[in-house]
Amino acid sequence: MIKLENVSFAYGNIPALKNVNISETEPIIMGLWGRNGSGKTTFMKLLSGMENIDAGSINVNGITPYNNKEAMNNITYIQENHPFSVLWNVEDTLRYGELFNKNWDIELAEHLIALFELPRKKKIKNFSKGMQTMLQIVLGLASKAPVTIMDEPTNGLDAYMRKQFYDALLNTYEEDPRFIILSTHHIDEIEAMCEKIAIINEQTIVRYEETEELKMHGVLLSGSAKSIESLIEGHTILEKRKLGKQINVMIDDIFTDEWKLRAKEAGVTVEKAKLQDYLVNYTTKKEVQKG
Amino acid sequence: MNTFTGPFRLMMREMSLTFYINAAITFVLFAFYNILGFMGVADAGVFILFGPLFIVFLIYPFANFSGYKYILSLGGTRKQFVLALYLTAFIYSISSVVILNLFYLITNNINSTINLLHLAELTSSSNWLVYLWVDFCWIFFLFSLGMIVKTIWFNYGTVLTLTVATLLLIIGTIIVVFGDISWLLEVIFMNHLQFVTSLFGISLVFLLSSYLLMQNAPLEKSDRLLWRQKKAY
Repeated sequence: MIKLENVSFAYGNIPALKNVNISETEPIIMGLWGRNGSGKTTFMKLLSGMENIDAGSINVNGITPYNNKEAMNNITYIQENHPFSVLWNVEDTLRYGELFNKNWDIELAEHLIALFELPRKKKIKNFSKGMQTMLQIVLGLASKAPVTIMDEPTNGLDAYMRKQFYDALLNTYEEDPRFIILSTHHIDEIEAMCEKIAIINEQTIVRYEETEELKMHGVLLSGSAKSIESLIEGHTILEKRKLGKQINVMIDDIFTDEWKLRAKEAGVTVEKAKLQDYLVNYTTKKEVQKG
Repeated sequence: MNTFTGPFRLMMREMSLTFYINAAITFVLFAFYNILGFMGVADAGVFILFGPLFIVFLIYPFANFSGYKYILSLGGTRKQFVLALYLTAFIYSISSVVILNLFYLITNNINSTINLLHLAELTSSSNWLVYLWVDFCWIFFLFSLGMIVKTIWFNYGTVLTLTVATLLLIIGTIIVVFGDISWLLEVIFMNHLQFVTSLFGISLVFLLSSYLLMQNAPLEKSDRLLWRQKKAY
């Protein structure tokens, strides 16, 4: 599906990606998480062939995507603010979707248009943010491209429409398994659908793991400073907050029954940190300290 | 399906609106001039019909460059964008030549007294193919001129483009003021067919240069580096 080896890319003398290595051979749904400026968008642009790598090698479904006309049949990249012409309405978008994608599923496209209740004749330039996102979802899912990349696919959607999107995504994936990348700032929104999650930080991919494995990380301890200090010794502290004599500490470890036992013995509260909080702290180097 | 079909159809659609508007303006002018001719109030004048369609080809590359991001975002390539733009411009330029010359033909055959200027009159030829060729060369040249300017502007930004334009203007002024351009005027007015054929040759050079610049163009305007910088990673 995809293989990137030592991929680097810079805008002039500003590095955007450094020595990125990632490989995936299975058609899975992958989450891509990173903070602003971490390199997510550049990573997706390189995968889709919109930009060319400066160093390393890139292979997406058997092709090098940059300036490769075959990329059209293999990769679909739906940007967060996907460009639509001021002349287009929904029907134009469907027509171009069909012309640009050899696997275009017209039935799925029609189903999604009806599901999202999108007006077919109204100019897209007059759509709300949520409606544009829905149209982007139609374009992304109905393309049935072997590698489908969607940047912030739920931006502007209300809770109901998000659920519709999740259901549609899982249904079409089940019917036609393909490699789908969902990029987001808010991992909570997509983690339930992703088999694996790639974490991008400081212009490189720092983690690429099974979602279930990643979700086990992050131990949150609350209690008296004295009790906690002995517990966290030797562990990597991701966050430490003092509230009078109490402290809250997040450490980078797997949340296990052993932690529950140790916390109980020490008289402190322990819980699993939320994945989003864990990732934010994991990628915020300035707050990291060694216990 | 051929991977070029999508980019081509997209560019045809993008360019259609400006083409239809200008074709309609040309039709209105054609009708207006002929009404003046029938009224017999414009016997001494020479009227220009080709203005709107000629000008629109100069601005086509600017007005339709948005097709670049649409094609790339749908999975097309830079080369496909340029080739689709060229092919579309070629088709619309042929259509424009046919429309213009059809209007000239109708005007000449309905006994209107109006005199519509056709640049092919400078060739002193009565061959209808020359009339088509002259219009085509001018339209194609204007499109290629717009294309090379837009390409440089898009790749290198406003500052460099205006700098180059200013330099060219200064050089042009020096040549006009201090040089002898009588030979050029002679070619334009005495050998117009040779002149427009030269324009066609220059058009090909402009279009080839634009193609070469665009095949690795940046995604965003003026992001291209003038020279390779040392990469920072």
